[in-house]
Amino acid sequence: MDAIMVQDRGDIPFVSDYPCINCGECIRICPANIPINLLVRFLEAGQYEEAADQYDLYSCIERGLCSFVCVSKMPVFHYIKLAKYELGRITTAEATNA
Amino acid sequence: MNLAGSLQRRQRMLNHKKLIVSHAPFWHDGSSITARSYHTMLAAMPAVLFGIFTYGMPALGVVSLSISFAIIWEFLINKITKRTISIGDGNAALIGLLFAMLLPATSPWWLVITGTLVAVVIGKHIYGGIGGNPFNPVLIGFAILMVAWKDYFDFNEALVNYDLGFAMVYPLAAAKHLGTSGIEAFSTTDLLLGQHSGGIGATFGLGLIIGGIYLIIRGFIRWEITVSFLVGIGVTALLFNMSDPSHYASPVFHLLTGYTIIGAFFLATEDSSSPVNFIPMLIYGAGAGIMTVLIRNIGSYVDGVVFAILLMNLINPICDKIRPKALGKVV
Repeated sequence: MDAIMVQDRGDIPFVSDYPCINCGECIRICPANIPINLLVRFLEAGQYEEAADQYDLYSCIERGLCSFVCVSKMPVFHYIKLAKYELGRITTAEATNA
Repeated sequence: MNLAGSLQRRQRMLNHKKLIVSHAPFWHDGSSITARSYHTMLAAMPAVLFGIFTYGMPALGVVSLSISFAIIWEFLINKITKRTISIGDGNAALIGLLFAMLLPATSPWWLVITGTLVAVVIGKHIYGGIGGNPFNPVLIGFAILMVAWKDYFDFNEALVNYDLGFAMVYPLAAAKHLGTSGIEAFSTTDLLLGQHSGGIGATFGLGLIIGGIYLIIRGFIRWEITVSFLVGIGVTALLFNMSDPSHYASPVFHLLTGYTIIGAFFLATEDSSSPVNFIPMLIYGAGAGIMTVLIRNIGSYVDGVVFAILLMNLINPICDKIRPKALGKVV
């Protein structure tokens, strides 16, 4: 579905660069049981392969609830999409070079 | 770091550009670290106010000094490490308040200042600030001071000049040295209503329980930890009590004295140093409870809550590996 949403400046949820405080809100709400508190630490550091291998990056069904409840206002969902995109680029590059 | 940098740029752009494209989700539930800290401080207020009314101006002095110096140390360390000033999130103030609640009302000023320095800098900032600390900062500060200046934390000595109309002997010390015959003077109601000596904000059991229940209902602390901690203490104390009733105090006594209640609701539940998955939270809480009673009944310290929680903070990272299987994973 294509749509354009326009929100007023005051309505946009602000994101911050605060670290994860391990409050566990995302763990409670995640429908896919992903250890987001650990996953997000790897994603912040750009360690996407570890995130995918050990911390269930690809189990994510992309509902964005983790970003919605994050106390630190981390862009968790943004991080996850970025990691998937970067990993996808690596895979495509490997396939082309093979 | 790139993403964090780009986010800051986006934040700045928001102020200038008419239209910008942003990433989903487009709404937030409104929670924040600031709100979390201030609500925790609010929940601690009944117990703190009771402590100030009981012990008078010295208690007020300790509480104010502790909160202000926790904030000052946080500000200075932010300046020194050239990071964003983070006193606005209220976490430093919360550390200061909880630290003061554990202290005896007569603590000298230098003890409070050193304690908050250790709590904020060694407990929290050398690990990278909020969210990175493997131990509860308040307990790190308190434990280091308690080992360094033992005499100031002996409540019988510290509060010797107070006469408040109830037995001024520290209940846990009496239980340790005299057995159950020494604690007959303390009824359950007295313990609940704060009619016993102890830390500024740690004696008013009822106030702490009300504050703690508020935190649980609002979702600021994880109830699993609190409940399993109390159950761990209750069951272990009951076993000791059954084996030798003349020597070991009853579970109710252990649940209402010392730092048990403040530990269950305010200290063990500190976010960064406690687990988030269901089974690990139960292990963590129960383990801390069991260790508390073991230290109280067998160990050499009068109260075990501080060291028990610090010890369980240690196993938190391994413990949190026990987690539910993620969607679509078979192994």
